[in-house]
Amino acid sequence: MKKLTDIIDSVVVGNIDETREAVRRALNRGIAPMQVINQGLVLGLDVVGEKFSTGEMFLPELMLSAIAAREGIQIATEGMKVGEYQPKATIVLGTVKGDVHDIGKNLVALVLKSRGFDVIDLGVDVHEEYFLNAVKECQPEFLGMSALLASTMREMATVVAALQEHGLRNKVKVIVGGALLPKNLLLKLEPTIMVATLDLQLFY
Amino acid sequence: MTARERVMAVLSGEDPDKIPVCAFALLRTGFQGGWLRRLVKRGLGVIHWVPIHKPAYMHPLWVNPYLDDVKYTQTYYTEKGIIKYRQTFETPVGSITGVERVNPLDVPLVHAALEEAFVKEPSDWRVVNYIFKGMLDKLAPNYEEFQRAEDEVGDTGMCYGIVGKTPWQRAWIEMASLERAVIDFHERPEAIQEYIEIQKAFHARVAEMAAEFPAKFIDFADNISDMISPNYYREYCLPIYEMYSKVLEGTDKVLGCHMDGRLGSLKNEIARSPLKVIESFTVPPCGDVSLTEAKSLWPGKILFVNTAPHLAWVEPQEVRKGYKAIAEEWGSKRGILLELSEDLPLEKVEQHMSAVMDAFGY
Repeated sequence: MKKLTDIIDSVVVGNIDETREAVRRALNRGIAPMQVINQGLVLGLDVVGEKFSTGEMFLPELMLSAIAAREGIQIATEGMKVGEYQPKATIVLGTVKGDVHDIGKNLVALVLKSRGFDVIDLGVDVHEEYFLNAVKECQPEFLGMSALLASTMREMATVVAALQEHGLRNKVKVIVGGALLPKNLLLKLEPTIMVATLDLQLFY
Repeated sequence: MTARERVMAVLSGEDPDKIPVCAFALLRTGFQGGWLRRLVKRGLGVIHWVPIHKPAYMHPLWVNPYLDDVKYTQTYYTEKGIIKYRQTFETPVGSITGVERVNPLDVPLVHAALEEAFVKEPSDWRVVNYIFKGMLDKLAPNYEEFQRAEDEVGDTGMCYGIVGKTPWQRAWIEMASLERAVIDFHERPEAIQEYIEIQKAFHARVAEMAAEFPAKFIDFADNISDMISPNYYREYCLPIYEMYSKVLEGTDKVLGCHMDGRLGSLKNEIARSPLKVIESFTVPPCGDVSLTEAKSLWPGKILFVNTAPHLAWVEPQEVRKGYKAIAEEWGSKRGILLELSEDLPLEKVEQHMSAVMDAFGY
C-alpha cells in the first residue's frame, strides 16, 4: 500500500495544521480512513520513534508530533461508522496514590492515543481500588501506573497485590513508569511487569 | 570543619575534611522534623532556599498580588481529600486562573503540581505578560529574609540565593500545560514572542540584584532534565545563564542550576554553559550520566548530588555501600556535595541519611 508521504512528513515535523490538512486532502481523494491512519499517521510516528530513540528528536518535539498525529486520527475517524474503528488495545492509566505528578503519564497517554489506543486516564492520586475497579469494568489489555516520587512507588506493589488478590493479575499486562523508577524496586514487584519508555516502538 | 565550612570549601574549589552531606530545610516540617535536628548534631548541613528578590514571580509560594490594577484571589479547598488552591488574576487585558494541588504527603507545598494551568489559550500569555511587566518595577532585593535565614542556620549550613526559571521551563512547568507550551513555543504567536522578551527583561533585573546579593551560591530553580531539547536549552536557557554569569564576573559568587533529571541529551550544552554547579544531579541508574562521565565532560564543574533514588528503599547496609561507591567513583572530596534535595520516603529519611553520613565518614 502506498505511503502517504505528505502526512508522514507533517507528523514528523510536528506541523499540526498541515497534518490536519493533509489528512483532509487524503480523505477527499477517497483514501480510506484506516489507510490514512496506518500508511500516514502511524508511519510518521514510527519515524519519530526512531529519531527519538537515536537522539535526533527530543521530548518536546516528540510531543508535537504526537499531538499532530492525534489530531489527524480525530479527523480520520470522524466519518467512520460505530465499530468500524477498533482501537489497538485499551489501557487504563493513572498516577498512584499519594502522587500528584502527571506530565509523564499525560505524555504516554498522548502517544498511545496517537497510536490508536483507547486510553482511560484515571488521573492522579489514584487509590488501588480505583485501579481495580477500572480493570474490572473496562477490561483493558494494559494497566499503566506512574509514580515520580520515591515515597509513592511502593503503591505500585499494592496495586499489583490487589490485582492478584482479586484474580485479575493474569488478565492485564502491567506497565510501570516514572522518572525515578529504580530497577531494584521493579524487580521486587512482579517479573512480568514491563517498564514503560517513550520508545514508540513499544506500542507499535 | 563545620557544615558551613565544608559547603564553602566545595564552592570555593577547595578540599573539605569530609564530603558535605546536606538536606533542604523545607523538608524538616511536620512529624519528620526531629530527624534533621538529630543529624545536624552529627554534622549534616541544612540548606535554605531564599529567593533573591521580593516579591517573587507567579508561583503559589511566592505570588505577587500587589499590583494596583491586578485583582488577585486565592482560594484553598479540598477535593477528594486533596488540598488544592485556585488562583485568579484579573487584569485590564484579561483574566487567568489556575489550580495547584498539594501532595497528600506531609511535605508542605514542595510537591504541589499544576492541575489546571493558567495559560489555556495562546491569548492567555498576554495576561501573564501584563503581570510580569507590572512586577518589573516592583522587584526589590530580598536581603532581610536572606539574612534572617543565614542567622538561623549559622554554622550548621548555608542559604542558596534562588533565581526563578528560564522562559521555556517557566512556561511549561508554572504557566501552561506541557502541550500548550509545546504548541505555542513551536508556533510562536506574538504573545509568546512578547513573553520571552519580558522574561529576559525580568531576569536582567534579577541578575543585577544577584550581583549584590549576600549569598555565595546563586542557584537557578530551573528543574532541567530531558524535558528540554538541546535546541531549546541553547535558545532559552543559555542566554539567561550567560547574562547572570557576566553580571557576576568579579564577584566571588558561584552560579549553578537545579538539574534533577536525566541530562544525557544536554551533556554538550551543559559543558558550554557558564554554570559552575550542577545542583541536584541524579546518579545512574535513574540518571543517565555517570559521575565518571560527568568528570570527563564537565571538568571543573561542581556536582551537588541528590540522594540516589535507587537506594531509597534498600536496607541501610546497601545504602552505605551505594554511597561509598559514589564517593569512590568521584575519587575526591573536592567538587562534590551530597544533598537531600528531592524526596525520600518519609519513614526512611533518618535511616537513609544516617547511612549516608556513615558512608562519608561522619
